[in-house]
Amino acid sequence: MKRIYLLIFCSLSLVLISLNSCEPSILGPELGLGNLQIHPYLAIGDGFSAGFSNGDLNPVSTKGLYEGAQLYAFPDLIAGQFNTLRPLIFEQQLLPGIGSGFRMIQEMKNPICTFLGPQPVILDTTHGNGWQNSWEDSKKNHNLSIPHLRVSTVASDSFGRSSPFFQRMAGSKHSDYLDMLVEESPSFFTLWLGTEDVLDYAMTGTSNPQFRPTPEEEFAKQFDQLLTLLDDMSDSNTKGVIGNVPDISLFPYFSKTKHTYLSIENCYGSENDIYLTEQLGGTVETRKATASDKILMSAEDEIGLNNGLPGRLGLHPDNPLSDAQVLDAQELLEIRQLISRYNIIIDSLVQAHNAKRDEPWLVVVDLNHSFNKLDGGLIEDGLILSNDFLTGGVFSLDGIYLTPRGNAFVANEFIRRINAFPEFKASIPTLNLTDFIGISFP
Amino acid sequence: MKTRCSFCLLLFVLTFCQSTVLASGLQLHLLAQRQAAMGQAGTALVRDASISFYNPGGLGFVSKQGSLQFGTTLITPSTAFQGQWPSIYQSQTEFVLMTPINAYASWRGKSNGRFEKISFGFSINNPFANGIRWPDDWKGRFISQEFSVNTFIAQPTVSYKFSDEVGIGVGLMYGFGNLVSRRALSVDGINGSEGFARFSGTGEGVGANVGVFFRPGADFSIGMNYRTRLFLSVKEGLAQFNVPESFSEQYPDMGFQTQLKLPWVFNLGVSIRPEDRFLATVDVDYTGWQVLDSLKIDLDQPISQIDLYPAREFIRTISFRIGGEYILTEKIFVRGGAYYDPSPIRQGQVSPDLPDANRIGLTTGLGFQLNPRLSVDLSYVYEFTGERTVSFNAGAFGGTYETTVSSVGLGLFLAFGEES
Repeated sequence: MKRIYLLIFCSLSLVLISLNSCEPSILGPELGLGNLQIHPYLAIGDGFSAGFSNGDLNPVSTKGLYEGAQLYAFPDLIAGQFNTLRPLIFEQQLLPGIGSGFRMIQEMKNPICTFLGPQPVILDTTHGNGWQNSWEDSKKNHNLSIPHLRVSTVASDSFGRSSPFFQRMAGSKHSDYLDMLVEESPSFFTLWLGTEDVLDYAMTGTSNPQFRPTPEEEFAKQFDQLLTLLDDMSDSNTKGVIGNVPDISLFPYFSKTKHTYLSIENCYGSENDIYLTEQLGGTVETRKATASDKILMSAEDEIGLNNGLPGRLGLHPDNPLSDAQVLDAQELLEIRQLISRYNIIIDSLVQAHNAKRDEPWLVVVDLNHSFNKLDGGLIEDGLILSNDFLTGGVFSLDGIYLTPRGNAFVANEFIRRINAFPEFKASIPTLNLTDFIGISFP
Repeated sequence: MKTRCSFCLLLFVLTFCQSTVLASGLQLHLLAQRQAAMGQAGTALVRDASISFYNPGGLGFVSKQGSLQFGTTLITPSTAFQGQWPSIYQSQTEFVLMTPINAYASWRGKSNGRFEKISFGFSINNPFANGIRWPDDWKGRFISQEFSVNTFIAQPTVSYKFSDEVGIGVGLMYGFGNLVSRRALSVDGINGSEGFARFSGTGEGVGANVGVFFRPGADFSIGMNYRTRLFLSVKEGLAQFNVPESFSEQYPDMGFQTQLKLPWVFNLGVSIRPEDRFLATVDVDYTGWQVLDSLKIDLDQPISQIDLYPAREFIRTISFRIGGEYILTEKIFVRGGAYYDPSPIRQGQVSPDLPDANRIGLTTGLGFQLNPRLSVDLSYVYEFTGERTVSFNAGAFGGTYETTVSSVGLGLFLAFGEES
């Protein structure tokens, strides 16, 4: 009987000593590509897919494409996640060094009135030399994204001739984007277009006749042509994910500047009304800005400047901001309605093209919803992502295009949509947003 | 227009992370090697001066008139993390070695003297401690990078033995301790550096420890013990911020105040000796974790108005401990035991600074009576949690954690004076 106790203790001790070697380890999840074939994966899109970042504040900026940003283009990040499941070659034609140039924070200045906090001094670099010609023939290009490509210009040879980015990528070989695309046959693609169809129009306060938004019929026609081409050139196993158009008016370029102006005297700040001009029918009216008006980021530094007119610019009824400096409530509504109609078109075209095949091969990722979540802040892994300028982590110094972390956010939205779409039967690992930086400061 | 508060969000991140939870993994039951080896039960186990902390009521029942005890334990906790599906992210805490110490002394009045019913005791030990450090680039670093707490409790004790059957005792607990908490800040420098905030400080507080001990028969004992909660006030903590140079004026090093709140504990223990060579004991601990809400850090210069410090609900827990001692020879004792310690932290509130889960412990140990006055005790404890998939909703951070803790202890026990 007594021996039993001894036996129990000795065996317990042995068990314990053997357990000592057990470091905790957790088995990873079982993931897979399911029905997806990923070689080759092609990215079709505009600057948002190209990795365009830190452009200048002008519409159709040529600055903003360079190696350091392209490497974080969301298609590249998605390809990296595919690669964890099956080896995948995804090559991009990079613009070495400073590429086409970019904005950067030269320094953070501490103002005399410290309650303002440090303010960035933003510098635009010049273009790098010969970036238009830096093409590596030995390299394939799987990221077929052209900054400022619109749905309306996919078949336009005048875009083909005038876009330095298209010139660089397609050179003289192709007249337009579709002509370039037809040579490819993707097994999988991501497609995110449509934002640029309205972006330059909005960035100029809808007042520059040079920048018109794509009319709906034109948008529908060209998008349909694009999907038809993709249908024709791909085989029955090809799948694609299509991003819709986000509400650009929530981007910092439109949302950063408040509708009142903080003027400072002896380090006491007081809020002043801002005056703007509004086109009503044929007449131009001046009124106070309200919270429903979006003052453009490009106009921000000009408010309060002495321009020789009464008061200072924007702060006096006789010296209002010009129509081009503001997206007023009416114009904002127009932009938003247009975007939602674009998105209805995308949904219905995807439905129609899915119906042509035995099983769905296209799926829409609702990026419009994704970006809406950023308004007010979204927490993930202890990080706050938002549409705040500089600190939100998502938008680069141009207030429109994305930071590496913003790209990772978009890549995850694509991946989550792929995983949630039953027909793909795929489970792709998501990215850690904490591995990607937002804006870095000196 | 210049933005007055362009860095509010950064501060927002800072604030919500300023609440750190203390819980079950924080309570160390490795207070003396004999008890540690016996399932960490000790409320009804009298041999030496360590009873002054486990149950002051039993101090008069220590067999020798005087006793001294010293010990230390080497603890190596290790936690693995797996991100939420479909993340393939995995991480593992870095090597941390914790070395709690314990020292006990007791003295009983001379038999047949004026103070024969009175005993005095003194103890110093580390009943609450935590040590966790994640790799620098780990995914949860914006919530917690490192969190360590060490507390000492010094306790003078007096005990009165009414009769051979009943004793009571009371101790004054003076607690002091330090904490270090560090996490990354989401502000990147152009040189590739990432910001961080580090909070460190020491605090002190007082509490009481009371106990009753019954010995209705030579082979049967019952102990009851209550230790009050102990709030260690940190009055002069140091908050340090490492941010890009352009923000250094925004984030000066500054002081902070906080309270490290330690819970009350009620213990009930029974020990029996069914036969001469075997002693068995059972403890039930009821711990008032709900007194803790969070470790809320009040900075001297409030750098944000936004306070998002998540309300948390903790639950009281009941843990069970069972242990035994077998007298192999007159000089060698073999010990073993097990315990179950449930987590007081609810799903949705489990943060990586204390990835708590229900804990199971297996214990073993040996005692050597080197001579009538001197014994050596060895203990070994293996604690594990199994996998627990949880989230920390305030930081939208979730995943699966698994923790194991190995502890090896060594103690010396000296007894002297007359036998009771």
